[in-house]
Amino acid sequence: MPGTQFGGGSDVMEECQKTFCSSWEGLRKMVEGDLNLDNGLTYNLEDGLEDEAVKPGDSTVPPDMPEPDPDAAGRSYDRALTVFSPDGHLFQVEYALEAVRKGTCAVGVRGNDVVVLGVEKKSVLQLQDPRTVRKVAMLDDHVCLAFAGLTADGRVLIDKARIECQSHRLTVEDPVTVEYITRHIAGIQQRYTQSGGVRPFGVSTLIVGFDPHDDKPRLYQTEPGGIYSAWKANAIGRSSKTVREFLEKNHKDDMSRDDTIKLTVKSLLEVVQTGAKNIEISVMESYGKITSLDLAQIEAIVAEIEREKEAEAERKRSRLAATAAGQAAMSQAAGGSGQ
Amino acid sequence: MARRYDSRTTIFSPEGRLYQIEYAMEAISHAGTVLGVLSKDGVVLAAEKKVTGKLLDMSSAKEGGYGGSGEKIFLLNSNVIAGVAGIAADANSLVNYARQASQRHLFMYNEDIPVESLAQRLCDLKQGYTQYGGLRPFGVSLLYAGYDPHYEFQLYHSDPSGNYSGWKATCIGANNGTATSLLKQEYKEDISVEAAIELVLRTMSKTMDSTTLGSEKLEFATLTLDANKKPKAKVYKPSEIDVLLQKHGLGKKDEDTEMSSA
Amino acid sequence: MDISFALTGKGYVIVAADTTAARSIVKMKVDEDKIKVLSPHLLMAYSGEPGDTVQFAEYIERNIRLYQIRNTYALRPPSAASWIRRALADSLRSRKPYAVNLLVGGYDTSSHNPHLYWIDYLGTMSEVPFAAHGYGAYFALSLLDRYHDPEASVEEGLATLKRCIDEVAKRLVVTPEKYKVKIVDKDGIREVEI
Repeated sequence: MPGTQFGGGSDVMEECQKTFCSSWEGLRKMVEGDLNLDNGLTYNLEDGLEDEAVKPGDSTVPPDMPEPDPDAAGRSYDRALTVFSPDGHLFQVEYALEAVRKGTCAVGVRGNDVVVLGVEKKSVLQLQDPRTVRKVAMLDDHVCLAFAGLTADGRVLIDKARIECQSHRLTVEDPVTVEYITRHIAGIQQRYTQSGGVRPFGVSTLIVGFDPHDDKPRLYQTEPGGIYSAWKANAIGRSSKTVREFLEKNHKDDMSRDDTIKLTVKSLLEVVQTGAKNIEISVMESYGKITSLDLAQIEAIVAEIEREKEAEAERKRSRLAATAAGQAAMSQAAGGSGQ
Repeated sequence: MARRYDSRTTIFSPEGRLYQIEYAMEAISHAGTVLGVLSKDGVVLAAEKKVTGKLLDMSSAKEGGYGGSGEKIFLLNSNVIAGVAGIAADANSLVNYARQASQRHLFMYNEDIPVESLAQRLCDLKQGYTQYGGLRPFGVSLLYAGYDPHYEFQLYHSDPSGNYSGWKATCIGANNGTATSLLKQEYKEDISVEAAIELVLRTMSKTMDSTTLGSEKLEFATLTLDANKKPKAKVYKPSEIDVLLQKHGLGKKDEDTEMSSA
Repeated sequence: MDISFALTGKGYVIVAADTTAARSIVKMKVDEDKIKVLSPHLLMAYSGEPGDTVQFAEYIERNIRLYQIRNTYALRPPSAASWIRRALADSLRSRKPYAVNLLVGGYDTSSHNPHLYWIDYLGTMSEVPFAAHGYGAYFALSLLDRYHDPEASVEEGLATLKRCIDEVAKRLVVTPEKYKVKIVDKDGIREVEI
């Protein structure tokens, strides 16, 4: 077999790096390494390929910790920031949830053979490029994620998840299942509530998709604390409680595609006053088949919902009028007989 | 009570806010104005310089380098220029990081880094500085003006939290509200680069505190395509800025220059 | 034993590779696909040390895909080829280098040009109008010198490819019985029978 080998060279390099790895260096490496995956290597490619490489098994490694340092105790920044309060709360996690509650609303609804993600879209400013304002991200061909909370945190978390998706394919030759990637994301979020010197991610996520070789739509949620759960329908972000209650009231099993989309829009309208132009809908119908509705389609659905509401209100009014008239008649009759 | 949560950056306040980031943004809103306008055949950046003084030696900026005086507008790569607002020292280290990232991309892919990728790189770093312990956020917002074959001319803005977004025309730093509303009124789709230059200068002259514009208070740069369709950044030298201002009737009156030269 | 060919034409690149997986003198399989689809407009034929080839190709495939998912657009062929070459060059200088030869063909959707790169296990890369790896190269290059036309239509390109395959079948002692042929052009990638 052809090939050139230089023995032992890289060992020396590694040793040098270790020697220079002072505490600050370690910290810097932790920040930069974890962000840029400059440490991401791969099978047998022991050096180089630093930049973008997917490395199998990368995912299971906790964030690089700085080298242990005798004076570490004197510094506050490598101790855990998220610690138990005397009454058993993890305040940083709870406050991170507050950040999520300030974020724009996202809704996920599962139908019979379809799963829909709807997000409240902050209105794009006049001079802004709408392409760069994104709330829904593809993680892989068959998994889609929406988040609520700090945008920059969301972006970083999405990037980590995308790497894991490809890394998983490389290691086991199969695409990730929706549950697997959810668990992975939740795992990352959990680590950031426990590791030294980091704050939790200020984001909750909704993850939708289809597992390979399967036609059951999936919907999961993760939270800053690292909790994840499966749902038939759920909401995160601003006013998510109202929306969730709405969904609890109106969700039915085995909804058709159109009904699922309609319920998603309807629930979003509970918090989005400005209507169709601030709503973004992504529909996943089967493995890898995802479509975004355009404004006209959403407007049509919103109009339909308005009409239904109108009709409902009309019916209610007439029913009320009928009962009122009935009551009036009754009291009149009662009054008449009393006389 | 609030003080408990604003001394260390990476701590959420009970309302779920990160005060350090908000304070950093506040600092930037007092910094020199930076303004960018996107046009169909180029991008224009202008920045207000705060460091001025009669004895400041500007001769090095006039001769060597790529034209900038190294305070507000920087060449990040052959296809990207950036204007910075905020703490100058932080900006320098970010510029350095951006230049390295661009070169790393060139090394790996043998192409100029796509503009959005570069903005993303810097934002990833900025985000890291809001999440990891013992660090404070970068006190810098940037405008990136660049070109790549994917989306052609682009203008991005990034802030200390690590958010970024694309714009047709935008402004950061002091008086950005006034400038943005001016831009909103005057910006037209399909504006040419010449018109963009004029728009930038006019808006700048209206938003800056001083009455007259001059090269000692202004940095200016454009990014266009050359004859071979390759991106070409031009960071104006002080003398060129004065010529440009004269051309648009915004420079100092002639007698001023006569007085000083006499 | 692997044989791969590739040639450019007017707005397309044809990439062909034999489908034999052999071990020593034994054929193990005759329907192996040795051309990876890296992105909607990028193909890579790989040959060389069995095992190394698949391992390396999968690694490349996943990283090119990751780039596309992160950026919403795919790497353009020149950039992808540069990155792949870099991967191979770095591997060569590691303790266990990959022995893989590649033909990378793609269509650049922003400049509307076809690109073909010849890359070998030493990290040599050059952009070429036509290329071959393996024993096929001994027979095909002179034919391609004579018959290749950068303005040829797909049909003409396939005819030229057929000449190369026929020549190998005629002269090589151990000739593969089947080839897989893929074409990349502005509409993406498709497979053709030959």
